[in-house]
Amino acid sequence: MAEAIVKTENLTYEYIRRDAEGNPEGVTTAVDHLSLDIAPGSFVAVVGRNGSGKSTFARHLNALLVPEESAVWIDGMDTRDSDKHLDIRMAAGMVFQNPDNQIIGQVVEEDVAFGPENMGVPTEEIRLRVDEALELLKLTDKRLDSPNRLSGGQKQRVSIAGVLAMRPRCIILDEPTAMLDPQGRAEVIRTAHRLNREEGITVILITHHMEEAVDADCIYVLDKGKIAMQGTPREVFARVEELKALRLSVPQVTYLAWLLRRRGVALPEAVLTVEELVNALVV
Amino acid sequence: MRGITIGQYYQADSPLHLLDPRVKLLCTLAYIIILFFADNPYAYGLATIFAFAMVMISTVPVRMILRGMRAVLFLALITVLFNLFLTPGDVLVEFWIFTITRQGAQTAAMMALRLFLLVLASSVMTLTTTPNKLTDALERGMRPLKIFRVPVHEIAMMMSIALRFIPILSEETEKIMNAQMARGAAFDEGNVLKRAKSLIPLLVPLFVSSFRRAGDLALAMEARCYHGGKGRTRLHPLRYATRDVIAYLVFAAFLAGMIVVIRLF
Repeated sequence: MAEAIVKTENLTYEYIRRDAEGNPEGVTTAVDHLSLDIAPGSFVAVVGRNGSGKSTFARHLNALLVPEESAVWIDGMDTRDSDKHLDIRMAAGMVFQNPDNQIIGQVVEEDVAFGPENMGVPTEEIRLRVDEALELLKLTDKRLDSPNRLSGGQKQRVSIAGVLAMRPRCIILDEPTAMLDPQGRAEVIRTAHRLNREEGITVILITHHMEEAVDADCIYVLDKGKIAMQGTPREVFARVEELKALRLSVPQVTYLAWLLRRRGVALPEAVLTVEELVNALVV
Repeated sequence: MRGITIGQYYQADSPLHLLDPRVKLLCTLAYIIILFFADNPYAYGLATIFAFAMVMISTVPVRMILRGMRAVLFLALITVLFNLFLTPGDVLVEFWIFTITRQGAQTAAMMALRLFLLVLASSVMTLTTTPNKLTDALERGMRPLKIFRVPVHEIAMMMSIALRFIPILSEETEKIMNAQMARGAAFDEGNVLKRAKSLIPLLVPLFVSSFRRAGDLALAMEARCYHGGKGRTRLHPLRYATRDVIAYLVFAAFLAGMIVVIRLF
């Protein structure tokens, strides 16, 4: 295996809870001794319910948060080295939850250009990168539009294009679908898979929708800042009871298959798609 | 409110639209300054002809330009009245407690025209330049102020972020208003004091959400390598073309004409 693109070692992040007057009440450990390696070119889903520490974890991957004692390496760079922060952010781009709060430009193509502009890329090269990113995300016909005229899914694609124009090796999507309608959600997840497959970009998808994790290479389930489960979707979704204990849902079809299996219907351990279930039942 | 256009940009392909925003900004500024030195009808005549020529070239419908004028109508009226009645000099007309002097009438006419041309010039500029380009021009134009530690890049960035968020915040205002109205809030009842008070439940959530947005945006900007104006390149850098040089020359000719007319008469 090639060197890990993302590597964390005992990553721990604590913050102090305060009451209304600002007096410390106690310490919350958002991320608790998390160690993981993510291989270049893989599609990794990090799932967990609200407060499981998944967003705090995501922010460490982009050097927006820097660990004090433990360490995070992005593409071999230690995030504690503040001279490397720009390089780290170029290597690992981040897409946030709210599409409106991360689009800076007043015109789609100008927003996509924002990252490369900050990196000091020459004008001709910015043009190339912007056109390429817009083409990849099928936004070329929208390039001169105001972002306010786009749908949620389209806005999120603009955000992804903006990250892509920075030519990162890895894209972190921090609950990119939380504010979208089902159509927009499908649009964004499809795009993430296409970039992973066709461009070889490592994708780390942070989400609480288990359905979105089905096609990942590997799933990490976080709970209280710790890795509660990890493995391929098939391995993770086979443990329906444990997931339920963590108050995470499994895809509907997986749940149905699990119920049937409990009733004695001969089915494989984890069923991920409707097609699989149909095939297993019909044969 | 979706897709609202900020400012009053009018999309067209006139030569004025194509000009570098710095040319338009600088020339408008110079035009306004020279207006304040104009003190005879000939100078005003020349300035008016030039302004109307620009309106013709801009291909912006006159009706759009007049709309901008309405805002200063009241101000113009007051100025005219004060100048008309309160300037001492050779009496033209006298009735009851009012006297109109020749000088008064002249100043009033010139003041009104000055105000009118002032607004006309800036309207033509904003109608032919997108807010984006204007911000760019301001950033470049104010660059010399960096010597005095004026944060030029930051000001321009704030302006363009403000422009980006005005439609979003106005949409949000509408949402909050609807939510409060659904719970029985009345925004258009009662006297001034009561109305002002009724805005509190609107403004508080709006402020809170604005701050949250600002925090999110700062994070997103940082994640995309934003670190101030240092070493930043542009997708659309401002570059002077031949037509911009021609525009400067035309304007310089007009300016020279104005100075000659002001000196001569």
